[in-house]
Amino acid sequence: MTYKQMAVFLIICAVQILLGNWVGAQHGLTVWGADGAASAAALFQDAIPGILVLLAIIAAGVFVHYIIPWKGLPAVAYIVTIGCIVTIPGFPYAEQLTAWVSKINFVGLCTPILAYAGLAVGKDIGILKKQGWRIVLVGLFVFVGTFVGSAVIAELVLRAMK
Amino acid sequence: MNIVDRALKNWKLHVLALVLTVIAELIGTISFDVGPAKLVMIPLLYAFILGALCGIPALKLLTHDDMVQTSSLVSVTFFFLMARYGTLVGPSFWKVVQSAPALILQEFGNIGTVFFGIPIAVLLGLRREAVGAAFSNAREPNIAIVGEKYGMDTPEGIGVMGVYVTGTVFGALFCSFLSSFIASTMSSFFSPQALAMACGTGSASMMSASLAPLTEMWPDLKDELAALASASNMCSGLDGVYMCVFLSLPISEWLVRVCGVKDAPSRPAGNAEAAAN
Repeated sequence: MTYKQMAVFLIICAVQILLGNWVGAQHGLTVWGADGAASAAALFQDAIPGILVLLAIIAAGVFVHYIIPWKGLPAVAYIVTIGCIVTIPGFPYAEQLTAWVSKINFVGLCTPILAYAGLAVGKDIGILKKQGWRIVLVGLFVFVGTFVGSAVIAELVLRAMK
Repeated sequence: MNIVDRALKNWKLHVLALVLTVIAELIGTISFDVGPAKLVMIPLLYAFILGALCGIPALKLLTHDDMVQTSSLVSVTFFFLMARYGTLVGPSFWKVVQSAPALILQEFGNIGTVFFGIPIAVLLGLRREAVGAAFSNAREPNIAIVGEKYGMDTPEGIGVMGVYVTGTVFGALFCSFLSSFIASTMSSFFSPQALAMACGTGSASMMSASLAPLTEMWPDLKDELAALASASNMCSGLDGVYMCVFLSLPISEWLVRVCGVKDAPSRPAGNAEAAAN
């Protein structure tokens, strides 16, 4: 994917995230009352600085990935690291940045992402049919094993640390 | 025209994604009791299920080409998620550092898949496929490891691809139910912090899906849990490859033999293929 294509798609995504976030923030249609329109507009505006901050973090991450000659880490690794650094308390404007991005609900952010993933998933069903139900079953057990294994160790270490 | 260009200009996809997002958010979070467990259904699950339903051939809504185009875009959608997750870890950075020993050691819990998965895979009649299927949760880096060591057109390759696709199709749904089930039935043993760390297994969508029920159940701890889960997911992304090559793959090789599968490990078809992977 070229950087231009990436930029275009990031803007499409940003619009979807803003709208999804807006609908989610109103908890359904409860704001559509007599004076609902004004508060709905305010809700929408509140999220705009947050999405711009996220876009800036993404741009910075992609840029760092571009200038560093070693390509061992994917761009998302730099994006998550930069997002972390700029919001550590003590970093210039960290509190302001945190306040802005907190208007973007992080679980709601996943809704459009999973919508795209869902639209794409149909092409994998054929592979799944070919490989059979046994591997699917093993896969589900694998996810249980990872989750429970990690949770047990984390719990024991946390208790030991107390 | 390049596939990404076609995908970008395919307005049907973007409008559908928007409509699904809005519908999913309108439905909102629903939690209900199933026996002893409390299941939490979140908008991202509806968005995913509705999206998958759009792909039913009888509806004639999406062609196979539409789906291939969409999948060329999916990786970029995760940029927003990762940026947001970074900004979740930042404010709780020192708290996360304090939990570092637990965060690092729980990574070894990912080996739990081996002891759980290999015997079950062999019991179900898989042979060398068991190694590929159960040595990890089969995310992209793990596929690369299998491709290089065994080749993709081998039983091991079929195993890892099978679990990879299972994860793409059922991962988010399943992990969400799994974490709400465990959190609601075993919260006397597990602290929410430990469960949050377990959410991060190297897949952003599975992490979000398993984290969401936890933040619904402990709204006061929302930010801390999200920070721990994202930090754990970052750790898995960084150390996952080493963990697989040096620990879980050798253990899988040994365990599959103990379980009675004595076939020799596959070799990549040729050096060219090994290099390509």
